[in-house]
Amino acid sequence: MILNNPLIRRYRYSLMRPRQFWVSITIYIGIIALILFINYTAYQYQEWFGNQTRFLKGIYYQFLILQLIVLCILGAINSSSAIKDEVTGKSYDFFRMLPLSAGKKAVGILVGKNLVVLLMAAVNFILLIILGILGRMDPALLGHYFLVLISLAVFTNSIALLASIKPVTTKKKTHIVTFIILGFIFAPFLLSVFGIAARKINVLENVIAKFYTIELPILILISLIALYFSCWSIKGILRRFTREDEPLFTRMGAYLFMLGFEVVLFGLFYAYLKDGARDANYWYWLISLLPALLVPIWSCHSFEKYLEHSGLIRIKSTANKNLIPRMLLHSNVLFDFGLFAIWSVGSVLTIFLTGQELLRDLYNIIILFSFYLFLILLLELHVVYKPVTNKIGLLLSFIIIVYLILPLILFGIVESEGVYMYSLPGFAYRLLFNDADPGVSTLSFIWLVNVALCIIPIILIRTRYKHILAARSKM
Amino acid sequence: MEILEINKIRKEFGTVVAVNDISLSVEQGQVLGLIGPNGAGKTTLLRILATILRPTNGSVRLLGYDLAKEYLAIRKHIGFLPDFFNLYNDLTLRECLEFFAKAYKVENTIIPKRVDEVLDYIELQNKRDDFIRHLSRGMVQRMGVGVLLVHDPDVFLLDEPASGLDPKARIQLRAVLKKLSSEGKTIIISSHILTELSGFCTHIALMNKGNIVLQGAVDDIQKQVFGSKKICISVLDNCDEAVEIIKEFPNTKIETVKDNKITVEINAEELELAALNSNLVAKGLKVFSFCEDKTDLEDLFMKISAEG
Repeated sequence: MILNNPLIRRYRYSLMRPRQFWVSITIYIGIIALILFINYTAYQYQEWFGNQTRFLKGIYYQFLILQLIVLCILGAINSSSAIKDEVTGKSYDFFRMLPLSAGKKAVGILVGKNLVVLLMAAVNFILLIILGILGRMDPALLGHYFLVLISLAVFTNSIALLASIKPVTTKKKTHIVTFIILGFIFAPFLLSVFGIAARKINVLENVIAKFYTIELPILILISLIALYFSCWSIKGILRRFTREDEPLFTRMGAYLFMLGFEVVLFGLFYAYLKDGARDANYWYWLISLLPALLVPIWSCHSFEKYLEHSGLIRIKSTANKNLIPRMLLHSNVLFDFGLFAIWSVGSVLTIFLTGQELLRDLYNIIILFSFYLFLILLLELHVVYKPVTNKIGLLLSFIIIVYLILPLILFGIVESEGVYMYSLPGFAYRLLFNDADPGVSTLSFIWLVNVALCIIPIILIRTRYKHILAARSKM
Repeated sequence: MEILEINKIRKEFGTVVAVNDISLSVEQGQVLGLIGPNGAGKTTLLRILATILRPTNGSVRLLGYDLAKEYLAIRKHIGFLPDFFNLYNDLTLRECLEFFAKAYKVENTIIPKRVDEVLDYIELQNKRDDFIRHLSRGMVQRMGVGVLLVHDPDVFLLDEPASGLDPKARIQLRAVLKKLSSEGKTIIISSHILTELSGFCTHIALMNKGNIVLQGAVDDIQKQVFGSKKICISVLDNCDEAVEIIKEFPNTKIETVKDNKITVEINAEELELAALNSNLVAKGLKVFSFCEDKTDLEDLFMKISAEG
């Protein structure tokens, strides 16, 4: 029984005290009354809606958006503040010590912290059902909307909680308070605007999306994708609550996530790719490159982990052997190559599917790899040099910004066509929007520059690997 | 019965070794004081035992459970009071205790009774419906112990429980802890305020730079470190004569003589000490005080640190 969860009980104590509770409810009833009043005035005196059915349907969509705001914005704010409150309130150790499973902790926060929000949402759901029936809406469509709402609520709340588990200790709540106040002030006006746009929203009802060869109403597809990523997010929460000091993904988990992302994205792009659209090909490439760039951050092994590995390597090896290759085997760098390999498989498939020129696009993949290599080497530098200096993060961030932006600035100054391609965003822009072939020599030179840039990080990382192995042997 | 068995645990933070291959065992009913300077590794060790930190290496068995695998089971049987903590300010004392009781799976029907018992125990019954934010620091500290008591753990892990408290609050907290120790609870308590642990710990482990430098029963360690007893003898007059008599006694060393008060380091059993006392009286000296100067942990700590 969910309500038997001790964390829900704890939040019930603190959030449902009569005075607080009635203030929230009064504000909420005020908003509902305002929406109804504005709509009724518009219907009665300005004839915006034409007939009663359209009037009720119009209000339905406004309440739908209100529901979205309540569940996905207010809910996410609450969910994200739970751990931060524990940390700033210095009760986090007690929370961590609770002999509750990670699942119970997650449910306890997601439901308990949102008790008032869920109460508002329940009232809203009843209103939505009544308005839907009175507005003579298709029951299947009502079901689709509810599914979208629920799946998006689960997705946003779980992501918000997951993002907050590595907590910031500083008290920066003012922006959230401002946001809520502004939300309450502007919400009725925004909702009125949405009301006007309600007829446009109706279009969604008829959109059929394709996932591979399966045809689905777009609302169902959105819900399924949101639920799929919610599963990953909840898995991440459970891992954070069980192994807080470990990276978000295990190595296997990271590969599965990358693979799953590719499969979902491929399914969404399939219809366009099958039509042979060149743009779709590159859009797919670049969107699926995002997890290949982000997953290394979420799954990178720390310096401590390297020390552990090097200890194991030392135990298993004789002292005279060169241990660097074995160290590399456990390293983040090699793992990141695996992620890029998964990306490459998907990308090569799209080349065949769209009938693009294989050789030219293989060149493009190799160049993208050189960009990727430099970035992951910088990430590895951060991992191995963090115990040496805390400033390494700042320095590397600066280098990354310069690396990504400098060619674009130079392009603005020298106005030479090829310069912007030396930056990853510039290269991505060329793939998406510039059909002109830059030629093999230009592409080779970009590759060479990136490889040259990698030399110093490689030397520095190798030195640190040696240092780790030596440090371990002394301990 | 052995309740805790630590086998070569190690914790590294980057290149810093916070706990260096420590082995230790604690029996039921022991009160183990972890003493050592700041940065000795006491907090890290306690946080590992509390299942908050994972050791880099080594194994721990607490109440028969493997710390690495059965940490949820362990949590039900331990009570950990962190060094810097607060409780839920938006709850009343009763609500807070009820929440922890529920989380630690105390049977629903006995929760109200248990909460009352705990509030009585920590002497905060009159504040039961006050918000925690209205409590003083000392009361919060006692409430912290109350939170641990609510599920009646077998092992208490207390990290610097008296730090930041005024003398009155410290005495009140000490009374609560003494009560626990007299009830046979196993307590592992860290502190660098040594008077806080004196007369309270049955065993001590002295930590320095991630290592346990010395461990054992307080009496054994005293003998091990000092070897001999320290006796304070006060006479009304003829102090010089008394000094001469004491010097003739075997295995004695006069440490100080001041205002007719003689401090003697002596390696003797109780019977021999009684003989010395009788001897002094028999020689007509007016002895009005003859007592052992009990070495407290502070002296021990200073002596060991100096040797280390």
